[in-house]
Amino acid sequence: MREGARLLLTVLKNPARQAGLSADAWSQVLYLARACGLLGRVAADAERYGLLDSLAAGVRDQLIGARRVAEMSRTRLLWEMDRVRRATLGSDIKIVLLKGAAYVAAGLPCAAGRVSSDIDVMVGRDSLQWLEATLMAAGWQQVKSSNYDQQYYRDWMHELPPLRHPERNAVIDIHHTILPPTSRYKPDPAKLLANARMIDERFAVFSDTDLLLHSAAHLFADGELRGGLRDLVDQRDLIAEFGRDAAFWQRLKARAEELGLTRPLAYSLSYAHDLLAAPVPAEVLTDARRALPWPPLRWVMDWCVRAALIPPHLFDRAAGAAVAGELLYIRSHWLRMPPLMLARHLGVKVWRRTLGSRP
Amino acid sequence: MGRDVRDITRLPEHFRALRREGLRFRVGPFVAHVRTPFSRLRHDFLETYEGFPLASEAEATTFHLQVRATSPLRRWVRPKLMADAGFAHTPFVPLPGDLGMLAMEMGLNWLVATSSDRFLMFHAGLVERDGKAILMPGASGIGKSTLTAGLSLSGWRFFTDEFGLLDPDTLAFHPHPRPISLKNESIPVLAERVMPERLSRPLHETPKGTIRYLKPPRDALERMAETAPASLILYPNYNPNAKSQVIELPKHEAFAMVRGAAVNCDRLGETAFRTLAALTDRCRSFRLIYRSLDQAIRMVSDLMEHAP
Amino acid sequence: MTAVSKADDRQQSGPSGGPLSIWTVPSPERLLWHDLGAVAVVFNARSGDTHVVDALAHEALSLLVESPRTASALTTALAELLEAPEVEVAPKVEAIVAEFDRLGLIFPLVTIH
Repeated sequence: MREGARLLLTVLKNPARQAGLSADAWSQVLYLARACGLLGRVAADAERYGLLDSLAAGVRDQLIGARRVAEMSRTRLLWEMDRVRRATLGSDIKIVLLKGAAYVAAGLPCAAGRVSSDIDVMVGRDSLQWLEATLMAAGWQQVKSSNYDQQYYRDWMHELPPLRHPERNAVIDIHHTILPPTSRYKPDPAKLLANARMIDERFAVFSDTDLLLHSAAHLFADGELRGGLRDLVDQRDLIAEFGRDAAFWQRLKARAEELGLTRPLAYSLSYAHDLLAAPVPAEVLTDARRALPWPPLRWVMDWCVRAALIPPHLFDRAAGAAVAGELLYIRSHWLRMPPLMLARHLGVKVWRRTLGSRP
Repeated sequence: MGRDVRDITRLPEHFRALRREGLRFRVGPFVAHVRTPFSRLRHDFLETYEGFPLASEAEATTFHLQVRATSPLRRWVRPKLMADAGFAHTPFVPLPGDLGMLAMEMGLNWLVATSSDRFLMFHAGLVERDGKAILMPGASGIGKSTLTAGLSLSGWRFFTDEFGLLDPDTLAFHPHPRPISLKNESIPVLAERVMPERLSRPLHETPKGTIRYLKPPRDALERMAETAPASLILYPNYNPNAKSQVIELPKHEAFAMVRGAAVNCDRLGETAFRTLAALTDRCRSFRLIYRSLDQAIRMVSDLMEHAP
Repeated sequence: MTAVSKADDRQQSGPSGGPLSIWTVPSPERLLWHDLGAVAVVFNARSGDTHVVDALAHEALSLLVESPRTASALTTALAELLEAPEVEVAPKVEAIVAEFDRLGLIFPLVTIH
């Protein structure tokens, strides 16, 4: 693994090691952390470990800036929740917060320094239209204006076309399940919703097992993996937080089987353990790894994941990472769509680019 | 890199380094690391950035930038180049091979704009005299750069013509002395005040017309670590057909105007609000309408008495 | 930065924000005020937004911080303060309340149906 990537993983595993980094090491860590969307996290770690004042001025400046940006991101998330609460006042709809919003609302450790650009929520399919209409009545607007985009989302995605509030410039994604309906994994959204835990009269978050399974599914079944180290850090933190309860592991295994997500979970536990020292009990790890694909697919995947999770340094760029990124892009689309559909989608994208319209 | 060389020079070793490992230099509170294979750009860069202090090994890099060919072929055939900071979602556009300096400057500007949330950052020119910093916010094309450059050649210390970096804790500005980008009509106005070697070669047919870069004065580079407290806020407005005048802004207008110039205030939240409140409590704000550069310099001199 | 003023032609009320709502200011300690003479600016730390507030809007917000009340109770209190007839004050207060609600400075505590 490249030197910069190794350094970044070191300080993410053990923030106290920030204290001993040379200026050259910091140059690499600051760059890669920013490229991976983890600068806010590195800053939060420095603050939590009381290291901020001991760092060189140039480094401290960057971390103080990143901390402010993360703080503002958190404010914006909480504020969008407040605005959704206002817009849905008087109804009895239950809205499940996903990802960053869930971590902030539930006060989980991975919320520290995390920057989210959008707010993601999930509701039952029967509430989708009502919520979309209610938010639009309260000022939210469609972002995707073309009929093709609208239809694409409604036919093939696990979420509605995004809505944006023009005054606050904030985007909300309303999901009805956690993976696109065309994905090979089909976790039952009703089961996820049924176990969600209310945190106030309006909002809920997934149960402990489902928070981890959702993040794992997002990274290893749906996402493009590019810059996905941030998600893996979330998973490491969730594992460390929930794994203190010994009963968690049994529930996790049962739930992964119930939702059909044993393979994404196996990837998650493996990589969170191998790259970020997540405290996964040895027997759990061994057991989970049975769900991994057989070689050589496993080796290809391993190479792709390691190359794609952390981008190479700008001044240290070989062709490998770009190829891995492309492979994974095609792979993730392949996982998500029937082949004919994929050809059509990529075709439309290329066609529109040629015509020069907005992507 | 040579052991005795502490500043950027036009030596062959720096010319070579720009292509290979890159050059790391200090500009105010930042350390920039730049690299490019284009020899025309390397010549231009070394000339324009001559005298900038090289960063020591004890200083971490704040941001990296390379100016590269848009495709391998484009390095040699009708070269097209663009800035690359290594991040997704950057606003950089391909430019003709002759405009490398513009790609470099625009790239560095974007990096400064997105790496300065430690400071409350103003889109403004900034100069200092007698330990008092004068902030001159303004959109491009209304004489901000020209006036900043003019003052810098008339006894004021040059801080920046683009980014006013205010420390929220101390209400002091940090210098960020970069080459001053002079455009179109402002070029002859300044050219008659400086030795020809202070100006870069003209870049023609850029998206903003003709551009020449004015090298920052020597003392601006030597004293780039010396901050100065915010003392006065001026809104320069060059208008050869108007009556020259100085108009003091009422407090609410002063607040709204300076907030509008604070580029990252939405990212700084409460810190920005408190800082803007303290800044407008401390500094008076004036609109400055002037017909010539010399006149504006005299008006600014007179206004210094209002600076605390 | 948005301006809150006696915009009397603007009228908007969200769902369940009818005339019978009791309005409250959530976490008034997170509102930071800065006096600018003719007007004041207020920073809402919950939203990260800054608003310009004129004297009447400032007074209205202060009254709601003091105690939650309906728009008509607010009208009565402001009319008394200004020594002006309620019918004159009422439309301005309604516009201000709608604007405060839109900006999230106030929240309906209870809605009486």
